[in-house]
Amino acid sequence: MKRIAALASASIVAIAATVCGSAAFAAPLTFWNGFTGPDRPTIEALTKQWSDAHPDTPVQMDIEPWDSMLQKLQAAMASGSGPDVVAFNFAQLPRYAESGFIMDITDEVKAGGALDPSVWSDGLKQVLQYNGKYYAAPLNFATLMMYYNKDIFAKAGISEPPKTWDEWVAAIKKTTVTGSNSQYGLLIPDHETIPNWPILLWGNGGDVIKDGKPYLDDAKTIGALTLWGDLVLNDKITPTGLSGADADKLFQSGKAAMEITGPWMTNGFTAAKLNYDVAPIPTGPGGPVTLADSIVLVINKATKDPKAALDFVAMWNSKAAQLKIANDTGFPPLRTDLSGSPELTNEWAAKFSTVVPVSRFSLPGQVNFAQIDGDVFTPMIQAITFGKEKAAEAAQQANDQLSDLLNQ
Amino acid sequence: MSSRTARLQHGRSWPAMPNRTTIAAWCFLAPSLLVLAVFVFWPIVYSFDLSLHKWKFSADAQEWAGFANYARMWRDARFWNALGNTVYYTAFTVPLGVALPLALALALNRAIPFRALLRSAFFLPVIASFAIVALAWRFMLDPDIGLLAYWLSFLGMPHVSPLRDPNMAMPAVIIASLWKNLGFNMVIYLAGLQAIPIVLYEAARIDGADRFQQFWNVTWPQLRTTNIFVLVISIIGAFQVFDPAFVMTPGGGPLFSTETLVTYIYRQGITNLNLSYAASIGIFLFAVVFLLTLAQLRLTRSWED
Repeated sequence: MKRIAALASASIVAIAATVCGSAAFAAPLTFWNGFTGPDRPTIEALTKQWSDAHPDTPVQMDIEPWDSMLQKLQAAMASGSGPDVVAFNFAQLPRYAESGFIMDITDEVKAGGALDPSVWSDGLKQVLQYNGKYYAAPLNFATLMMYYNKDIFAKAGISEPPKTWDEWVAAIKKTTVTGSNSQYGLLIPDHETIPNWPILLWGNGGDVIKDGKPYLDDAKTIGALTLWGDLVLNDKITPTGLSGADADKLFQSGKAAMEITGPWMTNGFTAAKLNYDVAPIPTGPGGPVTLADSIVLVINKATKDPKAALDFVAMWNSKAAQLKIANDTGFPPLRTDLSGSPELTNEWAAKFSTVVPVSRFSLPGQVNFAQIDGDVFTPMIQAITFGKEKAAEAAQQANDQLSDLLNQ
Repeated sequence: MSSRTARLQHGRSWPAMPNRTTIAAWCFLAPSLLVLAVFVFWPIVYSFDLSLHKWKFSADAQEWAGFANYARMWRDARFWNALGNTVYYTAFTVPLGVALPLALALALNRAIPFRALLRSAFFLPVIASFAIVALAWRFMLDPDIGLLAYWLSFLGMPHVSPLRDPNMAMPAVIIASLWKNLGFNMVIYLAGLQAIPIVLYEAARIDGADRFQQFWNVTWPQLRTTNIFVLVISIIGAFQVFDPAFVMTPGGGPLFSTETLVTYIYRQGITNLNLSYAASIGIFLFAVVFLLTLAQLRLTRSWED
């Protein structure tokens, strides 16, 4: 018994010595993110590059799926043991900024510095801030485009992708086949997805929230909901109750003519030998528009090494890092000074960067983003597309719920 | 040894005995009690406290809310929907989850060919993780790339997509759950059946009872304790259903037709960060399960009398 105790205490001392010893000459910077997909090698390479250049503060990276990473993050931040740097979707930013867990980096965002705001689009600048202060730096930037299956288009006699809503609706109806050998004209996922429906509302001049007020009961919003709800319900242009992953699978299996999604799908579709291309989302009465999305980097307020953390965060914004991300993954560069650059050799990155000027973020600055999306917007869309309620009724109801949420 | 010394010894050692056994009992109980206290009792007390506050991420002191969270449940249509779905799930999985395994156990308790193989086959899903089973079912029921659609296409039947249909999603979840849990109750019933003394059947046969009469007059009454166990466990499990609904139909299913109390707690607590509201629903669920178990125990006690 005594021997075991002695052995145990000796090993504890040994472990403690090792831990403290290594900490003395290299204090790693911890970095959590959810890049489990095809962009993982790029993220790992850029992180390693920075670590090699900063041997005193190598980055210790923890990659796990976004959902589980975010769950862990909440508990870790609340108990003061979170990582030094986190990458997450811009929609998470307001909640963490409001809670006071992340560092205000406004002083670092200045012209001529490593985080020069003049190269960011207005929409991006907006989502990096909370209450007028910068709390995040961007890591990547994505826009959505309309993917179309060239074989299905050719078979339906459509020579080029539609440019206006009228042409679009005609092409969708032409490529929709009902019955046992069904084929869908346009896939519109309604839950667990990169937002699709807001683009359709914007295209008609409608919106979810406008100038801080609920905008679902606006005539143009209801107009869009009626038009597209009708196409889903009566013309069966898409399966209802579709998740984002379901939609990607369907398009990849060649059973749908069109899908709206981001540059992350090009790898999978190309590997599946699908004959496809992308085009800007056809322009509706409200003008050309598409959805923007961004993964942003934030620094834990409790970090022991804010200088190293800031330097690491700023690295992602450099021309070199953005070119590598764009050329490896097909994402458009987040720096506006790189659009049209000859160094941008990835054809998809070049295509997705053409719609950056008309791209908008969904629900920027909303602390209750998850609730608005999951408890108000998705139920409204499902009530309409499953034929449970008329568009106007569902929109009115959702608008009331939304105003309760915004007034909370 | 005379009877006197025996009485004396007994008399002397009697008061000391319970003390020693009590200490020993507490020593044996301590490890489990500690685990239960830390991981069960304390969280229940803490959840109740949480449900009486308006919890906010990162706030230093949490605002007192009284019973506001419970009042909110009363007005929340999504909560009633989740409760209704949970009752729906329970109303089908519990009776069928008793009847099917019992029938299976009766069949597999006889000398039939491949008995061991069949028993293992029916038990196999029990040891698999429910998340994986649910994913497999989700794939099977997928209308575009799934097996069911593929088989139906040979019959020239139209595509069905149960998991995207508000009326069919819950039945699909129920079927998957039944399939997954069938083997567990089957094994319990097999054990119950094998504990019934053969002599009772012999006596019944001598009295001229046919198979049906043997079942009603021997098997069924003899399985009483097994039935109580299976029923209590099944009802508690059904009210706490999470994995099949969450994995087969993420996000609450079409029109929230598969959103159960526990998936709704998850949504409120983890997705929306309304921890206090989630806690109040948790306490409600705790109360429901507690009362149901109490009622069942009283009911079964009256059976025993």
